[in-house]
Amino acid sequence: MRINSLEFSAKLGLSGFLITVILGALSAVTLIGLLYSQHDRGFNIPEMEKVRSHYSDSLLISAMKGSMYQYVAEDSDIDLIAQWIAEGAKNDAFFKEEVMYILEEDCQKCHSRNSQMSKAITSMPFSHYEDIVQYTEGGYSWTKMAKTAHIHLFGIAVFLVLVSMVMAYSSYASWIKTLLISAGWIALWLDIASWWLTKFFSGFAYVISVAGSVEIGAVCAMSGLCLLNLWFRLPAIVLEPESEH
Amino acid sequence: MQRFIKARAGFVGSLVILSGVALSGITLSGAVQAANETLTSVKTDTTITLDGMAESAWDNAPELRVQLDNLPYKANNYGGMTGVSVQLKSLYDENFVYFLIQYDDPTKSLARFPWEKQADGSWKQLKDKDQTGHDNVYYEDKLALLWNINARGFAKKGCDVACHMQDDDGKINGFDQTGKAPGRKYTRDGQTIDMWHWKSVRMNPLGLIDDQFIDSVNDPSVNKNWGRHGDSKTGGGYVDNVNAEKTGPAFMNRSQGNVDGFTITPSQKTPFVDTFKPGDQVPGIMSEAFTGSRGDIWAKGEWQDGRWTIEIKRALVTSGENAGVQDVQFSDLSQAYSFGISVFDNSQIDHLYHEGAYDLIFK
Repeated sequence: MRINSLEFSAKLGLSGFLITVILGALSAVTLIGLLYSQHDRGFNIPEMEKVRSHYSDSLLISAMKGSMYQYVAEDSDIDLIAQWIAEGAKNDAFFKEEVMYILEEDCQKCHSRNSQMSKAITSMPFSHYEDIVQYTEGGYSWTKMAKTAHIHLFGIAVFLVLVSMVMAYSSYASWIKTLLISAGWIALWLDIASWWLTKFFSGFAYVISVAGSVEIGAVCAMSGLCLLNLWFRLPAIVLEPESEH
Repeated sequence: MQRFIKARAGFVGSLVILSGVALSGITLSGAVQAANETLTSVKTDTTITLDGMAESAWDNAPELRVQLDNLPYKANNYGGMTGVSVQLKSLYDENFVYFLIQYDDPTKSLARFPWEKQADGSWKQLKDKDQTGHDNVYYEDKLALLWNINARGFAKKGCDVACHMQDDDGKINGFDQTGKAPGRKYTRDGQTIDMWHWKSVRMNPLGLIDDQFIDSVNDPSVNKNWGRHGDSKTGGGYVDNVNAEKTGPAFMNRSQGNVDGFTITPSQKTPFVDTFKPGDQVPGIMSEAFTGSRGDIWAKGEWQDGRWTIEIKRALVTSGENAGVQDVQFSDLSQAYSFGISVFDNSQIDHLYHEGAYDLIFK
């Protein structure tokens, strides 16, 4: 049985799913571009430095370089706080006079327990040393990695298995199906594993970028090719031999 | 292929795929639209009349839309807007720069602390302060433009660089502000921001904007408004309309119900004589045009059908006292000038604002 021999209503249902997967992939790409660039709108290419920072820098520094960058007055503020962290993140005069000055100016308006500003984040105050020091560990903590990884793995697996199965039952040549299905799963594992490995070697940030691109590309390619297979006659060169149906 | 498309399944299938592609295209094209963060001032040789009505000369100026949807705190009696889109345009000539600012506001709020005659014949000044001691009920509509002079980080963060809010202990810079303003404005040492504060009651009838500035004063014993100051002036201002006993107004307008009846201007000012009936109101403020640096920005705003239209005019380069420190100077028309804008909907301090800054450029 192949997907192009399904009844019309089944093809319609599969098409809706595949188009939604493509739109979801586009949304994910847009989000990644916004999170890892200096822009707050539009379609952007992620900046490697921001990717590297997110997965190897402390939460505080990666946020200042990434999602919170618009609230940082000047880049030298980030360097100063990074220096404080590199020197042990101590509760000393440098912290009180230099670090807290920046945090008061750039962060505390929203990051305080009693803030009433429109974008207040009262659950993540930066009012005292104890509030701040917990965000100075480099890279993902064990807890954050475990939490983020399992959510992504379970969630992506749910739709990736469906897309893979639709691809498996398409009319394409076996090598095309094997390549794309394998690429989707292997890239997923490499991507997630590299989130953790970047903590120890920042070069793995490039693996995140490449694996993530392959993953999105494989999902979009499978979805797009299956859509074509559902509704159009395709050149024989990309199809499996008739005897394999 | 044509035979396939003609088949019902193929036809519908093509529609499905094309719809998906179109949706993706719309999504993508929407996502790739460039951000509009620049206000372009276009040269004009037309005389701009400041009357709060947009003449045809403004048609030549491109519009910048700014969405204001943030408030600095939750006032317990705030009933104003929680979001507004402001449209700005700018023109300039050899000596002046002009701005047209428009935004929708369903309420025209001009009753700023009015005196109201009570049933027993006494007078009561109407006020309804919130938990910070500021009014959001008996106040006036306002608008503020903040211009960077030399404030660190303003080009990126805008007005936020001068905004300091209470910490968890209710303090700002170590001073207890519990029950007082939730935030204060001040810059770093040696840095200033120009503030154009349009007030619909106190200065609009006189055709002026209150030209103020922000500096680094962060001690209320030095200045009760911390870093906020009026520019240097040689005369004019506004004072409360209250008699010596503080039991009623000291003055009133000659003609009741005049257009600018919510403040008392010099031409209308006359000693108060109580010939009023219960429920009548008399302005709680008296205004006289600023002279000197504080009065070097002209403006006129009109509210019509739920919309404010404000026209502003200022010299490209000002030369009043302390102008170099207190005023932004548009002296180099090849440069970009960073600014921020906020709207006060019948509120003393709870203002709608945006994040970041916008740039004025001259074309």
